[in-house]
Amino acid sequence: MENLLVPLHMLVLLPVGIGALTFFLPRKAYQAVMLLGSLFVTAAAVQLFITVRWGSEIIQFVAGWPEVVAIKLVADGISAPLVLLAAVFFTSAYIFSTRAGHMDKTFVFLFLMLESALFGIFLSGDLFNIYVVMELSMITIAILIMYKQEKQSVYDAMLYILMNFIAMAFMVMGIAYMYRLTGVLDLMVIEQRLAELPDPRAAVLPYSMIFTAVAVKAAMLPLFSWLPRAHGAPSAPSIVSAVLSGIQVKAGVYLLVRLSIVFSPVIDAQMLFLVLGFLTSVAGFLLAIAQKDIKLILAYHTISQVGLIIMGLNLGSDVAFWGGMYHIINHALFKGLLFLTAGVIIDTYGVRSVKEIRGVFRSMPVIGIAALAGVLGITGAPFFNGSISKYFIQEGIQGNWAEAGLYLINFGTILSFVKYSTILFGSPPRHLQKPRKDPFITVISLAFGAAIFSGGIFGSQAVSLVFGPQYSAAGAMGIEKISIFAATLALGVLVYRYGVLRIEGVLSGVRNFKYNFNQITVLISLFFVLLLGYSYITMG
Amino acid sequence: MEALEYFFRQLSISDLAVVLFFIGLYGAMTQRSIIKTIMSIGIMDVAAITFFMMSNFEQGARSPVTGTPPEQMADPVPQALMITAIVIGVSVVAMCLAMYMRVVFRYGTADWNILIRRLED
Amino acid sequence: MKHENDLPEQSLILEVVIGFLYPFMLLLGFFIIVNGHHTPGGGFQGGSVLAALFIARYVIFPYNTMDSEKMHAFQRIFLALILLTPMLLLFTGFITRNPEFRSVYLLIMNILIGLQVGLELGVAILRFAFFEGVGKTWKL
Repeated sequence: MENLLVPLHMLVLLPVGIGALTFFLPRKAYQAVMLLGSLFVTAAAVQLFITVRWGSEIIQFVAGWPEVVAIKLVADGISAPLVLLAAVFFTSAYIFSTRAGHMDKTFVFLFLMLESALFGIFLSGDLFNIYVVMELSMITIAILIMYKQEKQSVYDAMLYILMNFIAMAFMVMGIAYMYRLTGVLDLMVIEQRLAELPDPRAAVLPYSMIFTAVAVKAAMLPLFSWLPRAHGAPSAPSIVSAVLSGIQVKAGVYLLVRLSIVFSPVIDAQMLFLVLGFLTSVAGFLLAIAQKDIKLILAYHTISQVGLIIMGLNLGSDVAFWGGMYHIINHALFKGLLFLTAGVIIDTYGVRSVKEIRGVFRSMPVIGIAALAGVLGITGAPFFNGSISKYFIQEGIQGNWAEAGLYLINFGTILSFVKYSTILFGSPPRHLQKPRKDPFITVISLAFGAAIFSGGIFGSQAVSLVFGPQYSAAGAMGIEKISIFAATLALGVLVYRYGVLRIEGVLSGVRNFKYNFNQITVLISLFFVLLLGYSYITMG
Repeated sequence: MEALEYFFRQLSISDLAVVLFFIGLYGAMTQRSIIKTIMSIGIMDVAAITFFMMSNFEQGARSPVTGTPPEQMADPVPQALMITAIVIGVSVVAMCLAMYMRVVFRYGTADWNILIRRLED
Repeated sequence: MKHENDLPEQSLILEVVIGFLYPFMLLLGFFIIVNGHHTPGGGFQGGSVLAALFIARYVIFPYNTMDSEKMHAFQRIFLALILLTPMLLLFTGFITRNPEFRSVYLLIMNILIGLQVGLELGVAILRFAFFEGVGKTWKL
């Protein structure tokens, strides 16, 4: 604590404080002030990461209260890289949209408040703090989704907030049960006291309640109905979609990891989350293939990748765990880049359908190259960073069924992105006006593209730099992997040409199927009952 | 008969809170009108908050200020934390109601099934 | 006070009873606010009771004659005071050095929070009641 530039609680409060300054300055001045503030927050996050990575974990008890009763902020090996990722991502997204028209004072203030809430989720050390910042992020995101109040954005925001509010009510019940069982709210002390419980079956009910809430937040099957509406909504500015896909669902996955560690003395549900992660992944790419709107393809595909991350984190082997964590960073990079470039493409072309946009390479070459880098990264092309994290996850798998499942997910990813990258080729329509050259967009796109590429070439060095363990990734760049990738790519193109384009009727049926809100609540209750049953039965 | 009477006598407010929580969940699952869903979710939230506040309840405990002996103090943690939770619940319900008014003015219906058919995509 | 286009079902019972109860609601609100330091209550709870006064007024007299913009401006002033008072008194250590001012500080904070919450919930209620349809947004 002594050698930190900014103490932990100030790091959480700083973005909101800077955002509150916007209300006192005119527009020209506050852009520069915001930029300086964001850079300062990024510098503080870098310094925090360096201190934690090459030092020890940092624990701060707010206002100096003793251990069991204080509000605790913790930065350790899992949360410090995520804080750094969030800070860098928010600053880059802010620079990217310097010239965009929708960045008025309220928007910037809400955006920075979201950054504060995400820092709070990553740095919190006790249960009630997590609840408060989750609520804060939920309210902020609901306002940001419907910011432009176009066609059906208010309905999307209402669905999002109602689903998450039910999840938060579950969470309060779960926290209340934990308080009755153990008497404290501090995560580490709960872990110790759970190990000493006289009857461990009492922890089944709070476990199910808390994890239902976390599963809604992390968009697992069948609770991901809010995600495509929130991320791919027509009214959300693409910077909001990028931040949501990049960081906010990862906050849900982070909570999954953290709370699994807390409950590990009594309940171990790794197999269940592994299977759920796999099913989420498959459902994600199947739905992604059926979409026409480019942002919805990206949003459904986020579900698929989050399923893959959850699989990696729950396989039980160390290599796969760190592969999953590295995939969190990679996915933020390439999905964020894809969303930002998709926003620029939609603004220039005026339409959102994947069939009507063609020829991005010819009309906007820089955006096209950046989008291509994102596509190559996400499909796991060799020498790009997606392949490294997928290779690490694959190393942890035993058994033929699991390997086949992973190949299926990779194939589905390639198929959806073959559909997406049809917008890059061809020639642009004639009535297209020349887009203005915007240096900020160019710089950020190329920087992300370079990060994606270098994360691949220096993959194992990147993992050991950020997380610690040394794994060799030589197999990911060998001839065998390259040939497998090329074969899968060819198969994907063939299946797209002769398969997907033929079954358009089925796909439009899938696309137009919407869940009623009552059915969504039934699914939440069924998930809760499933968790209850599974944890009770496996307790023995 | 005796057992039944004993069972009803030892019910407490926490049990009421749990029952209310599941009534609210049932309401969210079955109501067709948007405003009734919002009310049900509000009931769920308040029931969860009541459940938290009733932990460590002792009959006859005194307020935890200076001047009372420590053995007789009531637990201050639940009520302090739940003030935050109540405020959050009020704000979220107010936001939901504002969104509901805009949706109803735009689409002309307050029923989930009819609303899905009238959306623009 | 009767207008030409009054609603035909304007209830006389409601008018008389709420009119009678109005000062008691005000008294209850301030009682809860001021006694927050040793009974359940305090700023937020008393402020919500004060906001019930706006609903009562709307039930009797459903016409838009209150200026919600001025109430919003007052609420912002109180909010600024709420943020300033701890910064000036608590974080500089004034209260830790003179502990006899603790009860005065609590009282001031409770009253400020109560008035701010009452005004802000009142503004929210008025905006709901006189909603004119989509297309209008207000400043933060």
